[in-house]
Amino acid sequence: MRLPSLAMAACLALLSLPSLAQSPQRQPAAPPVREREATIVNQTGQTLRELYAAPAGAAEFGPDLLGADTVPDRGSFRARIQGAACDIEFRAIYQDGTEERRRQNICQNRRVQFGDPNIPLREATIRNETDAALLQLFAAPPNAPGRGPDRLGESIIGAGREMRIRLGRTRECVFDVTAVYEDGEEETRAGVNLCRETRVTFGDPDAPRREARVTNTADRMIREFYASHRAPQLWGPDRLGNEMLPPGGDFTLRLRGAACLWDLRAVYEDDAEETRTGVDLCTTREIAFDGSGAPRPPERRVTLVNRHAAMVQEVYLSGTAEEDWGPDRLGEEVLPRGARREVAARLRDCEADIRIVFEERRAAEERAAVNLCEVAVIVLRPGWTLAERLDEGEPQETGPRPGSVRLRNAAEVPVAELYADPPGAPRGPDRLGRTVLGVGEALDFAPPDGGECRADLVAVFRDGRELRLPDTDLCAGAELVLR
Amino acid sequence: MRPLLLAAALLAAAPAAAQGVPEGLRGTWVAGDCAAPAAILHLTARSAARLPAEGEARLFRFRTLRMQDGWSVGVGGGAEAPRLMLRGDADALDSAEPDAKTLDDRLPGGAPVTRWRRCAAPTPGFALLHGEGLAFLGTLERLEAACQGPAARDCLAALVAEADVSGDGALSVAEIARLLRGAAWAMTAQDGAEPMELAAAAAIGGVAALAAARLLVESLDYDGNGRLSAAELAQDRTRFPDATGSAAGRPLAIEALATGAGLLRGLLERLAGE
Repeated sequence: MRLPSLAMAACLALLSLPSLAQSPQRQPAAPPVREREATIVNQTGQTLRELYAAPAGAAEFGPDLLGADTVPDRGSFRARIQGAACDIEFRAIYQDGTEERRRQNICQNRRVQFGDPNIPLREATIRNETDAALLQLFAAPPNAPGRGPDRLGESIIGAGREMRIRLGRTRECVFDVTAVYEDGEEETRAGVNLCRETRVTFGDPDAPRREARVTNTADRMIREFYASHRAPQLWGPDRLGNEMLPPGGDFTLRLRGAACLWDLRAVYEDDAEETRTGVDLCTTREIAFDGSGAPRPPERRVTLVNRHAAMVQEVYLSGTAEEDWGPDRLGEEVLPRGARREVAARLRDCEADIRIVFEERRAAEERAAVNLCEVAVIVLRPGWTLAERLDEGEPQETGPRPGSVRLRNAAEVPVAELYADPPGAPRGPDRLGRTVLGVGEALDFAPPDGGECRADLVAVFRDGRELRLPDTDLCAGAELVLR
Repeated sequence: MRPLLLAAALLAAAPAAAQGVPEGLRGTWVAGDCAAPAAILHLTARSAARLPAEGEARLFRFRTLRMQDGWSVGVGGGAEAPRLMLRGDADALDSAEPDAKTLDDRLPGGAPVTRWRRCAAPTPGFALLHGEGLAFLGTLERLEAACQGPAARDCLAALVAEADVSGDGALSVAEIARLLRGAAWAMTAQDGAEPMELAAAAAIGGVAALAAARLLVESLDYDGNGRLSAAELAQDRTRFPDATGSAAGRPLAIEALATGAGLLRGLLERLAGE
């Protein structure tokens, strides 16, 4: 047992000799440097929003080292920088959008400081005493090449509110401060010494406030509302903001300004606008917008006759300039074979595109640029989309043109004046202008200014008699005999 | 032929207008100098013809006449029912033509007032151009008055009396043509013609009137004496369908003449019928 043991021991000894001889070469080398660390110290007085680092002279920076983090003022951040380079260029972007670059050997000094704490931190409190939101604020020394970044970043200062902004560390005291409001108007306070007074106020805090209740008595939604005493050059912000004012709804209009007379403008959902000029908000507390000053597009009507062998299930009618087809003008109805039906749409222009969809949406046909002011009847038949005459084969219409009434003077004297105004509204202009509707003459009369179909119609004969036809449908396509 | 085509329409107008234009105001008035008038205003009982030296003539055939604030207000026929306001005495006259839109209770509105005067005699040119036409206005009113009665014979007798210049109790071609020339003038004046147009209408209407008169006499002259008597006209009145056949059965050289003749027949028939 000893011999084998000795032999084994000798073998082990022999085996160990080479390994001992080779030991200096086999010792593991130090791992290569894959990244370096640096401590970023923010003494700028602003929040550090983004940080980039790259070897000096590199073509481009890598990713934002902060990722989703930020470094507050007087805060620090331990940055891991890929690569072995010592000479690193840093690029810092602050909360207000300003940018700063610093080059440093981080092998010699791993502390990288932005901002000099010996330089005073400049701050200002911005107060918005106007009645419009302040969207951007710029502050820069008067001799600066530009006005610098928007100091509000993604924030805004609402009407009557204030915000403290940081301008970073600078020995500059005097700044030009510019406010940009939501209506695009700008206001500048030039040469403000922020070392003496850190509060900058825009607007007149002593200006009186004006309030009035604005009611929508129209039958349409008010989408935007403006009030200004400098219209039409400047209408100011939309006083409804993101809200809409439905029919019957109201809101309190709050304004600030010494002026009593204001111009008010409502924009309805159909883009029609109604303006009241010179409304005295010192004495008026209730204002109603009834839509009477905002003519709606006229209602264009056309009669469709289905001479196809299939039922028409949907009909679309939209202005040639419009992108959407709009609603199905048949609504819940259909247009059976051989049937006639009038469809209508409020269109600003005479020209319209028409699309019909057959039963179960098996097929559709379209025709573009149909002049609805001239075409009263469209016969839907094979080939109608290319036909020269759209009403071919149908008896000629002898009634009033579409969307109107025919007024016939059957009296012994001319009609000297004609009034057509929204029901209940005060009497507007004479719709006959300088002419008369002579004895025995007829006139096709459509809603004035493309307005509502229903109107109070008053015919004043030359002998002084007045014929009143309240709440008359001016689009009825019928004849009204005046006598 | 256009004036003749309108003849029936003119004659169809004019139910009586109460008392008519005050007698003292009737006759011919002049604006401006008597030797070179700026305009002539001729007033009959129910008509007014304003004939400017330059510009459009205007003929009013009053459907109604009323007094208002010292003015005689005559209202004509047509879609716009034009109004002429008259105020004055035997020596001076004011007239105003209100805008069609002016309400009656605001008359005369802003209408300018024209001052008219009497002159001893018309200028030769005026008489030549307008004399026959103005004379026709008076004739027309008398015929209308006579023909509004129930008796057609009275109407035709009045027609003969009005047109019978020679006084022989029958109508010659020339006498009928004169009547038609007057009608042509009146139609043109009513249409708002300028002096040159009135002159042209008188010339063209004169030719057409002569031809139409010849055709009428030939078609109705049953005794062949070249004239139409009241009896022939009356007989014709009762036999208009036959007479139409007679006229159409003769060869006509000019189609327009048939139109003129037919119109005059219509004219006479309407006069007799109303």
